[in-house]
Amino acid sequence: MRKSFPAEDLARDDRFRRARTEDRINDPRNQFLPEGRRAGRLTPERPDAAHAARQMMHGIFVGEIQALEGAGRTVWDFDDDDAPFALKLDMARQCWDEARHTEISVKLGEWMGTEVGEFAETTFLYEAACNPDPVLRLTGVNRALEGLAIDVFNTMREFGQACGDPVLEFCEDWMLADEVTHVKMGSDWLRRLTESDPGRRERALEFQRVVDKLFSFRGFRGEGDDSPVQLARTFRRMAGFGDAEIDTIAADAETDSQQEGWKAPV
Amino acid sequence: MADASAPRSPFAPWDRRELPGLFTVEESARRVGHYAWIEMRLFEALGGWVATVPELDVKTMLGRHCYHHAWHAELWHKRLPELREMRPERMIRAPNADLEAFVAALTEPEAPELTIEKLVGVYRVLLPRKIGAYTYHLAATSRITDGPTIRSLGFILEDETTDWREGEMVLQSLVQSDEEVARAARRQGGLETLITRAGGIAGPGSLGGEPADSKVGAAS
Amino acid sequence: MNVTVAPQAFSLVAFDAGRIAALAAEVAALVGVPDDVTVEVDVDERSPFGKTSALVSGRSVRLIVEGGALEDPQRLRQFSDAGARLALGRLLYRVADRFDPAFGDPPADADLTMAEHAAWDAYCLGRYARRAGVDSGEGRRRYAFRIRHGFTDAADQAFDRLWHGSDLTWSDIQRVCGV
Repeated sequence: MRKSFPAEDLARDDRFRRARTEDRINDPRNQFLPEGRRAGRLTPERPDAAHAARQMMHGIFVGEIQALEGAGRTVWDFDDDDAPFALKLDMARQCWDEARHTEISVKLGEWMGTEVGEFAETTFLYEAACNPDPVLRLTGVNRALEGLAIDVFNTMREFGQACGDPVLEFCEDWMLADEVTHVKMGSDWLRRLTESDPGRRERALEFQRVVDKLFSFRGFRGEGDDSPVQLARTFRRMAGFGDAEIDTIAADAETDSQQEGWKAPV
Repeated sequence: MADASAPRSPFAPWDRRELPGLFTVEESARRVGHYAWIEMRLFEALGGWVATVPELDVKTMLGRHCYHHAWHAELWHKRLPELREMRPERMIRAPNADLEAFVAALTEPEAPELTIEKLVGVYRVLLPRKIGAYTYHLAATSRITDGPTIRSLGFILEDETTDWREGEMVLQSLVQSDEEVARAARRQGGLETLITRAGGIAGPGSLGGEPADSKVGAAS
Repeated sequence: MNVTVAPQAFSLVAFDAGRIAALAAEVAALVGVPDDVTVEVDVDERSPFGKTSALVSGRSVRLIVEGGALEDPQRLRQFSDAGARLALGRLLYRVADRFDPAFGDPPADADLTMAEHAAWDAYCLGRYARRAGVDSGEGRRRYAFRIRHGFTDAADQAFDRLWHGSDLTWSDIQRVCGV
């Protein structure tokens, strides 16, 4: 088995269809979306609330599969010199958690009437976050990707609360608890592995910022009412994100959302 | 009224544990080091395979089992300093080159159509071997002096048995045709040959039958 | 039945006007839209979203469809036959209901509440599933219905009555919506 596994080789059964990230970004229809016509915050008041929630849930589902695969690859790809045993132990724990989240997502999809593979999958989560440098990978996965997961799960949890869906609210809250743990793991290891190398830490945090901007793609995640996924400040603070860090994500998202038109990447 | 100062036997009548065991401290540490090594190799492989298998239920099973074996490795890591081994890295190694060759062969399959080969290696060869070696250790070591190892073995064997059962059931659901049966048998045969050469996960004597460095009162 | 599609040629998505017209005619006949009704399908190919509505004026019907409603969710900008049939089935069953004097006099699509939309959709798609012999997504329609009517046993029973119902009237649908 190779060390380092490319996204195009991620194994899937026949139900899944891959969409290229660049095709979504370069969708020619994006230019025609009128000012202010974005999908908007995910609330029951949206006429397409059910479809949007199902689509987002399927995005969570494939995201969890990619997170599971990413954590698994980290366990395998790095030898003891690059990644100490204790780090791999935490990544193995994350494998377990992401496997559970995958199972929860399947059940939630069934609850919402969504079929496995109903929507196309883009692998930009796996691609963006899995870096050959273990410190950058940790930062990309456990701070950027899991930070996005906090935002998405909180959005879905609030949606479940707002429309009175007890199953959705219950499950998203449990998954949210796990993600806070994952971010803490990432923060702790980033600090420990770069204790004597501030330059490496800076590069890691810059990589995190690049990945965060990708995940905020043109207002998909932000604090405006027109962002489907809302930045979850409270839960991010619990996970150890500083206010300055959160403000940066919000500011970057706002700047990016001024770009005309968007289509959610998952 | 009972006399609180009346002497009682230090061991309750139903406590039949005996002092002697087959393993010295050094022998226990040697085995535990090998156990840690194989658990680490196994959890790394299971984690790496998640991305390579298309079957959703197998992906999530590998993710769960990955953590089980990582936790086992952690238990063994922690046990080594307690066995007077202050440099665990000295003991955490394969018992011989043959077991390294076994692990290399075990972890070789990557293609998405080789799920049967991946699972046979783990659930029909390695896990049964681990269950055997751990069960032997449980039976052979002193139930009093090696109490902490016995406790860890209890937890670990519970996992190993549950994981083996789950993996075997998944395999039975995947192996449906004569050709698939033949594939599974070929794979199992090839890996059994390698692990037999190695003598098991702790090398020769994994299941006893080899003299330990010294035995304390083995005949009593 | 006279069915026209606008635009006649698509440049942003891989749709074929002739195919859309053929499907619309087939589905309209299947669900009982009268033969003398003219149907215009107006597709906005610039939009990836899926909003749809039907405007009935005399014996003319205009179906206004955002392109996303006909798009394959697995293949960006590609047409989905199955998805298009469901979207058209839902819209054209409503049209057939409007032309049925026994159904009653529902408001225009734009004036319906979201609860009424969800209820009427359940009734339309349940019938379409039986008439066409296809899976029209009972699970996801039930979820959409629950969002509007509640996650309760009573709401589920109301959905079942609509999904499995025949010869219902607009009043029956309004009763489900508590009107």
